[in-house]
Amino acid sequence: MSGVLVGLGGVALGLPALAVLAMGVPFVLGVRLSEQAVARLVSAAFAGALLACLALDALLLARGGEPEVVTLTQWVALPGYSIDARLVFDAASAVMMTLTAMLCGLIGAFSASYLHKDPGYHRFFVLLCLFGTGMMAVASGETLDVVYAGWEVVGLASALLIAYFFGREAPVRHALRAFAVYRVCDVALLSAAVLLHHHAGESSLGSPHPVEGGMGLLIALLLVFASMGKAAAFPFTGWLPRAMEGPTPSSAIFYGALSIHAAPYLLIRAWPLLEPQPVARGALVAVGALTALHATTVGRVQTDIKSGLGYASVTQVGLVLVEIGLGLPTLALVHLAGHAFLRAWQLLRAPSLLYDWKQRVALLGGERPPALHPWEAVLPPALRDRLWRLALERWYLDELGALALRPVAAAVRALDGVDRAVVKGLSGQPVPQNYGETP
Amino acid sequence: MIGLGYTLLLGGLATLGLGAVGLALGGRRAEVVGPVAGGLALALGLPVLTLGAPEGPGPGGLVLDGVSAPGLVVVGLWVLVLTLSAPRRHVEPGWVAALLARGAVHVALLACPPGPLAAGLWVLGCGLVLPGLSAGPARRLGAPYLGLAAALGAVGLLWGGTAGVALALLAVAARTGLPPFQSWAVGAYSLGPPARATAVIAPMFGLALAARLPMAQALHAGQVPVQVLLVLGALLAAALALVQVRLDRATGFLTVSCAGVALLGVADEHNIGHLGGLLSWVAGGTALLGLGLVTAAVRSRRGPVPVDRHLGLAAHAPVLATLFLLFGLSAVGAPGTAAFVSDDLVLHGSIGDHPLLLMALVSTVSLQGYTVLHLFYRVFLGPPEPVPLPDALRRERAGLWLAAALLLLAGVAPRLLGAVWQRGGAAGPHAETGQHAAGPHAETDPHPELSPGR
Repeated sequence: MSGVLVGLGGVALGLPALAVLAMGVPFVLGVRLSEQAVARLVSAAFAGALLACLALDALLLARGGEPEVVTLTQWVALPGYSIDARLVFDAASAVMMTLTAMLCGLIGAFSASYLHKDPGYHRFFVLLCLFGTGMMAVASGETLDVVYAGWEVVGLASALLIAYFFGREAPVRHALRAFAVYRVCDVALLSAAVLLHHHAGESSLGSPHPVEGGMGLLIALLLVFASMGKAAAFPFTGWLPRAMEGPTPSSAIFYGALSIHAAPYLLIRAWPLLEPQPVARGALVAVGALTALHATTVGRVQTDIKSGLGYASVTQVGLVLVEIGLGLPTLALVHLAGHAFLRAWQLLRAPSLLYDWKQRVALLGGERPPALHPWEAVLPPALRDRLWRLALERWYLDELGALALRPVAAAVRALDGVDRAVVKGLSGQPVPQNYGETP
Repeated sequence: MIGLGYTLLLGGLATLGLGAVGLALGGRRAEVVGPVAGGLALALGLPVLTLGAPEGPGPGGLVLDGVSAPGLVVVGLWVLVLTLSAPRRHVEPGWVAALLARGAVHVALLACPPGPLAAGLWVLGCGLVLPGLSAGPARRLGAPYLGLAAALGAVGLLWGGTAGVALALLAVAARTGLPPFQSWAVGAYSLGPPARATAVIAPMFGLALAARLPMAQALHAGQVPVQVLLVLGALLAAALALVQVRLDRATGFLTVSCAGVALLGVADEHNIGHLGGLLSWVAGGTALLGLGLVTAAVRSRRGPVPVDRHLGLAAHAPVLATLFLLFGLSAVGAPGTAAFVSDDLVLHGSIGDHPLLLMALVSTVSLQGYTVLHLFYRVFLGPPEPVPLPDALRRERAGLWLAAALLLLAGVAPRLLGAVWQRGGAAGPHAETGQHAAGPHAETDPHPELSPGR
């Protein structure tokens, strides 16, 4: 049975990775695949992965849902030290893996015509398959080493897809902003992985002997912090609506369906480490509640549909985080899965929805004045205006972030000035500071 | 009668040495001699790597083990890639001769236990850096640092003990360009062609001295201050890379930051961290070499490359863009690349006992990754410049794709690396001096099963 599970797990993980290779090697050799070939390759990869996931689901059901941990391969083997690529097949991973394969396949099929004749067609599908590989690793990884590897791949694919339309500056700037948030929070994830490995002897997320005491709390808090980046949780919400610069299919799969839910999924997977830590769970509830409150207020003042849907996503993810913190990981998993499908559908529908809405308005003879939401109607006008301003400025989080970074940047620039002075003093030549000043 | 392994090692050293001497004595066709010498060294080094550790020392007291066995292969690969893919006008006899000589000296240094011979090789190696730098300001800047490195290293190797090891580590930091000695290394990138600086700085040849220092015996409680200094230096260099307005200086700071992480591992008293450091050196060195060469390629095509605005070069040069991204991510340990494994080993082996230090190191690696993407986005994405940039030439692609493919292969299948390394006798200097236990914390180690050699 283990052999079958290893095989199916390997297929689910390996097919998207093989698709990346199959599209990457021709690029290296200077051969350009046709759009049709690319679309078929990607469809086949995710269809195969989906079949493998469904087979895994059936096997799991036949076993009565009993989880199984399998070792795909011994990734690193050294005297006295090894890193195993271990996968876990249980209810949570079955749901997430099937969701990943299904949604990636759907997005691939949608994008084949949506991005027809777009110059970045091949690039999109390479990044989609890369993302699929990373998500499968996150979904099925039993150790933090495997989850971390997939997590990084997901973040990189996300950053590169936000900058898909790289002929303009705004998508590129926003992609870097998203990547900065990911990197800040990934510090916590990697630290948690190393500390867990060091103190528990392995970085298993389902370890029957979790680390106790202050170290256990630190690891749990690090995992909570790590999840905040990808979940766009408060105070890191700013990157998500800006990430909508990417093509609609990538917005759907990343910020509607999968990437944003990787964060709460990580916490569901790490539940054995979180459960004995009430302080960490309390922090998670607070973060989730603040996130939901922030996103629901800011979302109400958005003027474009994708940003509005982005904030709606964040609101729901905030609620999912609250559910996990309150000790309801199963409810959180169900909520997450349902939300993923709904939001992906809404985002994919958004472009045509606008068109339909404009047609309907025209039929009705022009725009109707916007109606106030019931709670907006009961607020005093002064408070309503203040709240509106606060929401418009996204609670001033961007300004606070810039304020915190400014002294650090100034200090580093001062040190750079010292280095340049030393170079000038010893070499007799100043370091060119601006473009055009060649040595 | 010396064994086959030592024969091949000496053969490789002779190949590199003869190539250097031939070019220095008025030889021409450096663009042919360089790749041929590198390829031959690579070919001779592969059997050395797979033969297994021979018993007993070799001629001149040379030691062939897990530390020295990969040296010839790695140096051969680096020479091949550099001479094949560097801008043609820089591939001149003097430059290639210095490169071959430096390579030979450092392969020998890797196989040399601490002592007078190692001291002599170290001084020679430091001296050979100067011809590799651009004449004029870069050499004037480098001379005092390299002189300091040579003196400190020689004294440290001859003195021995805790003070000797400390001086030797300081010498390595100066030679490698780690803060506070970064000015000459980073200055080499901006005061001359990046290709020349890359050949001198990216291979991190200075680490060859640290690879055989008896850390556990000498440092004990001094290990933590050394780690703190190295981590802070690497973090500072990564932050400085981010505030640069030119690509060449940014690449220089990124290179020395990665070197700091590698030295942290190499200087670790535990086997796992030490092995991680050696792997980080090889993987990171290869990736930084590639990154430097792509920087040099872009610089040679358009002149100085600003990073305070977007240039959009990917529209005209997608291959160079892809290579820059691949090498940059490989240098900072992205999953699927060789440095992911090596950085993981450094993290687990070096500072698992100190959470704050761990988080500082992880922050450094994270910042390095952000810097790579920042540079990539500034140089290659955004509205394209009106003047098209020619993409990578066939010879540039050959060398760079070879290096990239090896980095990805080792990242996806790191067991190959480990198996080969173990076959070469991975115990290294810790086994020679009986230090393959967990060092001074062995009795209190909560996980003795993780300590090699038990």
